[in-house]
Amino acid sequence: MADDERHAPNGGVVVSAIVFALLAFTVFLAAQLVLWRLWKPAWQYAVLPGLALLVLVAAMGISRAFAPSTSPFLPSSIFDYGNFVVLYAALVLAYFVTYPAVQADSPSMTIVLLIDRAGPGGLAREELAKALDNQSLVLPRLEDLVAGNLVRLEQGRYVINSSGALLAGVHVRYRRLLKMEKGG
Amino acid sequence: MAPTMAIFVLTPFIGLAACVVSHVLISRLSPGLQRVRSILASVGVGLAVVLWLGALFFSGDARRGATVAGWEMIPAWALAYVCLVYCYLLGFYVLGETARRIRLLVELLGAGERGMTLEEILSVYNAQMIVDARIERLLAGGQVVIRDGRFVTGNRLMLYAAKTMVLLKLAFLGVRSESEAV
Repeated sequence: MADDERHAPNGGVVVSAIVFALLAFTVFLAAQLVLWRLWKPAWQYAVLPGLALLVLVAAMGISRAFAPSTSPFLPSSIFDYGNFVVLYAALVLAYFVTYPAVQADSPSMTIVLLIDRAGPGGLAREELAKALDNQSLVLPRLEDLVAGNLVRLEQGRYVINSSGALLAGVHVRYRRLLKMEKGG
Repeated sequence: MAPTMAIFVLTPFIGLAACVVSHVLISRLSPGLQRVRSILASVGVGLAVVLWLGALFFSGDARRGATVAGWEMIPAWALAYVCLVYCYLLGFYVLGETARRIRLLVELLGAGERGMTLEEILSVYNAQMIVDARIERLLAGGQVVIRDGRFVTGNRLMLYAAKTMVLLKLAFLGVRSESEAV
């Protein structure tokens, strides 16, 4: 049936757009959880988008395999598929943005956790500084940059690579556009 | 799918574009405005665009032949818009604002091909600066308060987020923190 001729049998297309995208996203999360527990790939940030794409293709295949009329949860028109893909992509991108925070410790969150663990007596600034030193806050991030090929280590000096310069340049220019100073 | 329908599918991205443009304009025109306020205002502009397009879809000819009643798409587009704005704010804007990797790259970019030794890097960006900047932000946000000269937990929202992150680390990586994984 052509898009232009079909009418919502139950007005439930929003169900197919939101629920089907949420279902596919849940499957993606579960697949990553299982995969990472069994075998954590060295190239995590390359494998993750591949996995997300695989789940998207599988979801669309399942949807195509089953007749749209069998379930209001499945997208049926091109418009439905478009909305499903946009919502799924938005959810996956939001997860990609969150994932590095799972991998690396956020200093703010570490501070909040340390203060909470200290109980009602709290923590002094010196105690915090002692717990969070260059070894735990700066060196791992420098190692990340070297491992990610954004920076190279040459005779004891850290030198930025072209990919690192490109990334830094984008942020520098954008912050200048916003009339803001250096972050960090 | 008619071209107008295709445009409506892109509603969340159009809302995001409106949010980014208004964020740049507000930041440039009102540099003294609190950052959180300029963010809230620009997110509001983007959301207004999404709702406006939703209303246009609901009332106009665009939805003729669509399988939706019109208003039904608004929650789906709003949810996608919120996710995209989250990506822009946390994945790009906040990254430039707080990420240590980006700050280190910016310092190394300034050094050029000569590069920097670890000592030189630590002289311009170090743990004390990182902790001080975070403490100021946490105090300003009320997540941490000072009692008798010591830091104690204030608003617990960030604490819950941090504990959730620990649970995610345990689920995905099998450790409670990065240092534990080493």
